Amino acid sequence: MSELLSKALAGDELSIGRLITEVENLGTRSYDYVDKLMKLGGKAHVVGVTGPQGVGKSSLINALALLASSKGMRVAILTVDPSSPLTSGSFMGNRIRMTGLEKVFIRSLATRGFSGGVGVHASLSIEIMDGLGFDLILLETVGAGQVDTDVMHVAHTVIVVLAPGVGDEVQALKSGLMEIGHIYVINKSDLPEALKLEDNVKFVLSLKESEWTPKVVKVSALKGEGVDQLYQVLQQHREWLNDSGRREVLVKRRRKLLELLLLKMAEDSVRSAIRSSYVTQEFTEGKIGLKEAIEKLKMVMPR
Amino acid sequence: MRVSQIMERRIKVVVGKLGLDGHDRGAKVIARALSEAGMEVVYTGLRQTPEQLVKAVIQEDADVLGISILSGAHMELVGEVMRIMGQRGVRDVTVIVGGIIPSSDVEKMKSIGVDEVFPPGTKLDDVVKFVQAKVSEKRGRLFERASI
Repeated sequence: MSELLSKALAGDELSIGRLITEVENLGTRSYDYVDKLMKLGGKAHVVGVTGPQGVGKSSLINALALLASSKGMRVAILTVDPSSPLTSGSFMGNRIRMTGLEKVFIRSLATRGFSGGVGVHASLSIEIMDGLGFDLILLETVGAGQVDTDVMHVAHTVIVVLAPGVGDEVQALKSGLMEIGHIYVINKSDLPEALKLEDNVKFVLSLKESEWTPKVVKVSALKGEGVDQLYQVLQQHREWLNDSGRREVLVKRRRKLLELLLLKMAEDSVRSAIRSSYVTQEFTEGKIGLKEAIEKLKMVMPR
Repeated sequence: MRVSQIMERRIKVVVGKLGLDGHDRGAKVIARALSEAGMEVVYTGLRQTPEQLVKAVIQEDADVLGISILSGAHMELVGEVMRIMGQRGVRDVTVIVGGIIPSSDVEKMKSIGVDEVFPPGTKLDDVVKFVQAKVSEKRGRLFERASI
């Protein structure tokens, strides 16, 4: 086994950090690491935390992580922020709201071109942290809307965070976020509009039947209220997912990982095929029409 | 497909405010400028301790640590950062410091391992160029070592 991997398994944070960089860069050795760690993994409880921007996902994760680590759990936080489509840079500010977490491993990841709110780098990082023996992995997705629902494929438990003022348009959210949560958190519950939001959420959820009845929990992450209850509901959901249920989630998660990776490879090779053909130029110069351009591109596209 | 096409190595930066003063506009402006130059910048916010900043550098596997400090305690606090980094085996990280640093202290900062000090009025572009050049230089070294 490589030095990096054995050090990471021994808990050396420097090596864990470097390991995640390797998988983020999709470096040649990284798949080896993932293969080895996947054999050891499959035990962690992966909790996805999603919701619109500004509802307090980071503060909530901070509160949950504090509680879980005080109970002796080994906790990792993976937080995903968007990359700029123009510069490919990223400004990642979620760490600002995460304090007092001396024992928790926090890593910020940029989406690097992936839509869906999670991305291949986060998927790979989950496998890494799971294999390294973390008990609880909290995944914070980018501020999500209706379509950013990939988190449901990679997490055992999905927490959808809403807050008064930001998430009032619950009706508008119902086709996306309102379908994927196992737990709905009404954050900033100290605000007066929280009760109305809670009613709205419960109403929307009542329209749909599912095996697990989604729970609604009111929390004030800043004041620390309701966090204990949320933690209990989280454990309930984990217990509800019995061994075979957890296995099912793991299979789904790894299938998603491969799908994301293949999509990435396909996208890269399509881009380079188009770039290296003259078809685009011929089309933009008006030498050939759209129909002919598509026919020609089909020829250069990898099968 | 060639490996180089899917390998993406970006510059990762941790920017933080060391010490107790509450002014973080400068730090945010630098963080924004570096992210607009294509880097992935983790902004850790106000009132960080040396321990917290080094922890962020380690967990984020940062290439660059940008420290903003206005309180006047730069020698002590940055010195502490450098000491903890050395103790934890953090090497090859480019350390830049911005804020109110008297010019008489600049050489002292460099002697404890700070790569560059940027006084108020520095052009953002100069910071970006410095970071890009320094990281490529250090990565060259890092790749040659090829241990890990």
